[in-house]
Amino acid sequence: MSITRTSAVPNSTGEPAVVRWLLTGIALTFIFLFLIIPVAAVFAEAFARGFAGYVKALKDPLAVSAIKLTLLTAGIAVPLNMLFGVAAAWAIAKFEFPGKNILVSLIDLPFAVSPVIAGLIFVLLYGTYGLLGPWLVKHDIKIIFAVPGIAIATIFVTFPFVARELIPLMQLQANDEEEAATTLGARGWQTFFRITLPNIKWGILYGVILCNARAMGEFGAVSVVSGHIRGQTNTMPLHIEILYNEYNFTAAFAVASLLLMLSLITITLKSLLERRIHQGRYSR
Amino acid sequence: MSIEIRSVTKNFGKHCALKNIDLSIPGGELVSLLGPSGSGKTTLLRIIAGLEAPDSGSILFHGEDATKQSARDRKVGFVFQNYALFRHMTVFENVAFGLKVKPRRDRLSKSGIRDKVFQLLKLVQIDWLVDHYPFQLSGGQRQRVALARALAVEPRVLLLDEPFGALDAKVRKELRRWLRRLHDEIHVTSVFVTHDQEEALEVSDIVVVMNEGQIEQVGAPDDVYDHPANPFVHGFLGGVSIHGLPASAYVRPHEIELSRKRNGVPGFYGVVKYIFRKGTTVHLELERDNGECVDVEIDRDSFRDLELKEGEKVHAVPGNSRVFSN
Repeated sequence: MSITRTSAVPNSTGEPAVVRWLLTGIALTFIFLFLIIPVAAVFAEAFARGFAGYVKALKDPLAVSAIKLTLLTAGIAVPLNMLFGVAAAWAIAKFEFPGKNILVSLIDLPFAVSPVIAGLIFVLLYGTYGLLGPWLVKHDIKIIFAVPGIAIATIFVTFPFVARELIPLMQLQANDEEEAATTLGARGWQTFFRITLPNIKWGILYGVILCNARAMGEFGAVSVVSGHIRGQTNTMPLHIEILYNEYNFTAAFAVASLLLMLSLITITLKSLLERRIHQGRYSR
Repeated sequence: MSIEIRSVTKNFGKHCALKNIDLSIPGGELVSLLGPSGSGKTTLLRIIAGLEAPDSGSILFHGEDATKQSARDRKVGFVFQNYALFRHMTVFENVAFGLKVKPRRDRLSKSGIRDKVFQLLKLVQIDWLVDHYPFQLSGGQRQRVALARALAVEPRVLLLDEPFGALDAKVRKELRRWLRRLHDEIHVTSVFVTHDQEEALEVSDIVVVMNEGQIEQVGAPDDVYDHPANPFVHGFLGGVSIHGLPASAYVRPHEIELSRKRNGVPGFYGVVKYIFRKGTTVHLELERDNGECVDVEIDRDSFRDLELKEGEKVHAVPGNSRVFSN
């Protein structure tokens, strides 16, 4: 048998070139139409009145207040969900206890429930005519149509992110290193900070980044509980909607461009971290 | 440091892992827990370490009850089957871990820790790997790091779970001889778990044969090998059983003699089913008239003289057979 050299690129599955080009073409067209053009449009619209117009839109007191509230909300929701995620993943991955399967399913609940319903749940609970309403009114505590409500709704919507990322990671790592640390004389907290935490730090960061992106971008649940009081209970997504409805496109897209940049940063960090976590799994 | 195990029982759900185990391990010895998988040997080791709590019974270290002590307070060195090295730490940091987590008043100075780690790494002959991470090491090197790490805290007892299980045959042999020599040097009471009878017989001072959560026999390697207490121990240490020659005979494959003809000596006929050549010896699998299969091991010269082929009939005479009361 003679060996012949073929000039074509090796094509192990043997599809004709037409099919390959067609599939690649469809994918690229799709990305262009539904991703690239919209992203470009946001920035184009944001800078429609020049850089000065862009800066002016962002310096608007109402915009500044929306940005501050969004940062505050994420600043509350993300650390809390990080703590919750680590605790839940730790419990689920390392211990056996009754109700474990129910807990695992419940963690996913916020993903399954429509954000609007999530918002309504809290209105029904904490609203003036809600379950806890009379008590809250009596003690002059305002949750719905105020910052606490926005924070609570955001926490609810974003709480699966960290736990979801950590549970499989910690299950995979089993308990050996912790046991080794214990036999070497480490106390519980030493084991946690010196062994467990370093092993899951990239997973935590990954979960936190996704959690943060969602916390800042959440619209549905926050919209229900916020009350849309401008300068007080408007987050960035809500502020964008109001500006848009008022035909103030430049301002709307200027604020939108900030959220979009957050997404781009998130995606970049996410793919960098995926590589880290992937390496970590195999560097045993 | 002697270890005393008193009527220890452990269940996992409905599965009984250990049934009323009594065992006393004298100080300074190298002891192997030998048994098939599921015999409870690893569970027993983890109970000695305090990583698992017995359902009933007690563990005594040097005559003192340690049953309620946590793994942290027992001062045992544990070498895990997959080594469980801290993957985000270098070899140095791994070995130093036990020294660094000590309460301040017991802790060595930085340079003291450094000296000690290097001394240990020299002992296990890998001081040149000090800055490597676990994933950069070979299996045998990881094993040595795990050992050095366990020894760093000056354990009263060294426990090893299938220490050579994950290594290839050559490294395995090398490392277990090295472990033997190391033990002769440092004399810390050591218990290791293995399913490999050769390993247990070669390395340990005392062999504990376990099966189905119970101890079948305890003794010196020669003792256990030459005088197995029951058919299980005999079989697990490589023996074969031949039924109905007046009684059941228990022999070792190399204690069976083969000949073409029956020379008036009592024995049995068998058909050669398979022939395996293994270096200096040849293994044959004989099938008897009653369907029973018997392993026979003869040396190469005898095999050549017999000129046996698969499918031929041969007469076998078991020598040196044992009879068990049950």
